[in-house]
Amino acid sequence: MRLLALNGSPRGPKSNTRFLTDEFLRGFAVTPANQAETLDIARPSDREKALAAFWHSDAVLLGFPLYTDAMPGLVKEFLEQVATLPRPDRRPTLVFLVQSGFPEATHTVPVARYLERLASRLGCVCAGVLRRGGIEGIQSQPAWMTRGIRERFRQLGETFGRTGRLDEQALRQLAGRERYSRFALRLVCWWSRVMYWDRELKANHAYDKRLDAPYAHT
Amino acid sequence: MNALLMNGNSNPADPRFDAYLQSLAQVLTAQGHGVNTLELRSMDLRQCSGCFGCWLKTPGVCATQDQHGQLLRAYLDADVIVLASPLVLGFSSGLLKRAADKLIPILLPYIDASSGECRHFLRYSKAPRLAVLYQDEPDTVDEDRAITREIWSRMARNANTSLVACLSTTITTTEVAHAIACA
Ligand SMILES: Cc1cc2nc3c(=O)[nH]c(=O)nc-3n(C[C@H](O)[C@H](O)[C@H](O)COP(=O)(O)O)c2cc1C
Repeated sequence: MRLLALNGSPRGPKSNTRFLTDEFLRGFAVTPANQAETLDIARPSDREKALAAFWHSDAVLLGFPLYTDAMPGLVKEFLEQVATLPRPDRRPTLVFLVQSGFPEATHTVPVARYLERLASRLGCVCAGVLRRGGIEGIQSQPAWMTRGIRERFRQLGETFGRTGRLDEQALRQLAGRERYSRFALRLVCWWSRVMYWDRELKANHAYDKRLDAPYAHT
Repeated sequence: MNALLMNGNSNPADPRFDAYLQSLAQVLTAQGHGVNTLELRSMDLRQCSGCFGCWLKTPGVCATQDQHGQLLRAYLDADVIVLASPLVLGFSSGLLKRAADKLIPILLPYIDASSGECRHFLRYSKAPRLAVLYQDEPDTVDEDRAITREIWSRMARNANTSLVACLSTTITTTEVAHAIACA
């Protein structure tokens, strides 16, 4: 199978989307005949290549970060361009990967519904939507903390590489809980503030300005 | 009431949508409301690069040199934001989405979970209400309309406000004006 892996993160090669995509591709490559190419659509030259290759791949994996509860503008504009290109009779199978900053699975439900509908609109089979929350910061966490999630993406890639399908139950497990308990949420708020946002603000000498409201009415 | 019409029509070759918005602006003005229209396709709004500079380096201000300041000021000046665009592939245009991505400086990085679900605290005390206005595609079905409404109401929730209407240009501009102004 020839898989075109498209990274829709505006952050490009250093993104969390790319990090998770690479794990999926590691599993995909276990099947000897499989070939994959990865392109970052935030890079203009890659974007052109992605447009040229989209309709001629056996499968396309399109990954992106959740941006204001949907796909980034970059991804939507790319898809709008894809849809204007001539479509061959044999269409690629589509797989989507959506990851978010917030941990709960509820945040990615509406966009996943959109993506399934999009696939049918484009006349493609949708093999599934990989969803996972709580991903911002994953690349600064120690390897032992992220082993489980990396393994899940690898497993899903391996299954897809072997069968051309994804297992519903494995996708549900990947997405995790729809909602978190009050206690867990309080922990998320505290942890993200102390371990992440405030540290970064201080490192940038911007902590004193963190509540600035530069466009407030005067 | 002050309304901001964010015109996300990316296709100037199709004059129907722009004409509809112009007529809506006239109706609202005639009713005594303030109207500001931003034609997004003529603005220099670069893609959000995901750098979080607007939260962590220059709080409240996007790091990109473009017209995001004009967008943010207009957003904060309004009581109602009309997120307007034709549906393209079953959802609002990529142009409108690009502009929505550029609104995150109105939020603080800190997470508020008091509603039982994560969202960010607001940087400003004001949160204009949101409304969505779309034009059907030839193949639009109810599922597309439902998905569009669902996604934007999630976005409204995240912006600490509510989605007061999600309307199609198949109804009259007077009806749209009524729905926006009375909500
Ligand atoms: C403009 C913008 C909007 C975002 N909106 C959301 C959101 O609505 N919900 C969420 O959980 N995370 C949101 N995030 C966080 C990203 O989804 C998260 O940081 C992700 O891991 C970034 O992945 P990347 O490195 O592949 O770009 C947003 C980030 C940005 C920059």
